[in-house]
Amino acid sequence: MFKKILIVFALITFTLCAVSCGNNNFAETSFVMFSSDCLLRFYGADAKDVLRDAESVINAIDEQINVFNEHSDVYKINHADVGAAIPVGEHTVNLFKQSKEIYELTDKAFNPCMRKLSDLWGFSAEFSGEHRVPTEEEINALLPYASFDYIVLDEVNKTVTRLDTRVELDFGGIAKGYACDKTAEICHGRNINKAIINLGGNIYVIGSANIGISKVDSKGYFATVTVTDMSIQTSGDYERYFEIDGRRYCHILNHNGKSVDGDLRAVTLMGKSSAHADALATAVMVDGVSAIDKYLNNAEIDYLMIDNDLTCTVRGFSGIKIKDGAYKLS
Amino acid sequence: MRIPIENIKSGKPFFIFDIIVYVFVLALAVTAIILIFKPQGSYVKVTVSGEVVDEFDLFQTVDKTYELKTGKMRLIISDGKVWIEESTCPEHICKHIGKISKAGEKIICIPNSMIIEVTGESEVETIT
Repeated sequence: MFKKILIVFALITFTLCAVSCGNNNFAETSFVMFSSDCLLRFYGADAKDVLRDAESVINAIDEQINVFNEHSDVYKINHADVGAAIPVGEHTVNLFKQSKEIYELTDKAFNPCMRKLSDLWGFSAEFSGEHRVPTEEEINALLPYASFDYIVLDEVNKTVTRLDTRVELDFGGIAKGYACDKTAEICHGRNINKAIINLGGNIYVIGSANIGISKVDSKGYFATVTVTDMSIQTSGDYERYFEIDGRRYCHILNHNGKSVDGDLRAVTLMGKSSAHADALATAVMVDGVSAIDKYLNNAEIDYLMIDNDLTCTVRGFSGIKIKDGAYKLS
Repeated sequence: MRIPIENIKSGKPFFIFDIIVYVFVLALAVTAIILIFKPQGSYVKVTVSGEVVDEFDLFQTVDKTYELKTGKMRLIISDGKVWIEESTCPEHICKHIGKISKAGEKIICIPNSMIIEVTGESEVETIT
């Protein structure tokens, strides 16, 4: 009798193991893309397949919009003659449309037409040249052309045309968010019960996960928040910058083509669309707290803004736990 | 050999062999359950002289050389494992430990006062 029980027990256990192995199936990878560290972590029976499909889409997006890749749509646009209609892929079309929407919503605080101005400062992830403060003349020569007035999309024929050689496109401020959204889309309808997508700090969580928010002046995180079926991303003055004579110049440029030097150190936004939040985060860094009344209040988005005193102005973010006493909730 | 169940029915004694086999099977089953629920190492903490100098996600790619007062240490994180690739310490014990990836595992370099620790069940899964 005892032996029979033992055999049955062992058989049941093995069966349970086999079943739960299928459900706890887990696949992950890390890589560098969009000039940042990326991490994909999927849980569920389809984990390995979805991982492969996600990597495929992310590569396809990069191929179309990478400013340094001479075969990309964006490179071709940025080197095109005036009036030349450059054929572009679906991701370029989507990014163009989504960017322009937010450019208009934020009154150009988010502006993907500023690439030539970024180059004046030497802000370019793979730029090995000099960081410098450009002159007023240099900035003013390019500023009027940093606009969607000089670069147009033909949605029917899927082409983009430059109307002046003084404008160049860069989807860097929205591409990671867009790629997050596309990756999350792949998971829906597949057997994925949880996913962590982190593309250079733009995060999408399917299921629930504890996410840390970066400190502004050192490594690690100062707060944790539980994110459920949503995206979370941060824009800060500490991501890419240089210092000259004790003054910090960060990579985010304002309406005047100059490095943002305002009331915020960083902003973290949570919302259903990562592309939307990614672009808005840049705009909020440019506009500071005035963004709240201008467009943030109407956006279905939770925000956390960190000012120069490390005081955090928050909407939503319920359940946030501050771990570092230097940061305070206002 | 008469199968053990018939032995039970006919009142004959257990073979010791039977017991060993059944216990082995049971042990395998239990181990399988434990392995499925074992905590994943997910975070790498680097301390020098007791102070945390870096924290990395175990699943990112890192190749970092630390220039310390006592010497140099080159740390690599790749494919969910972390190890010391190069070190200027005399015995290279830290290099010989090899690649670690499970929660609780550590690499210690005493001459450079550096500890690299994989922590499991990290408080956060990733950082924005």
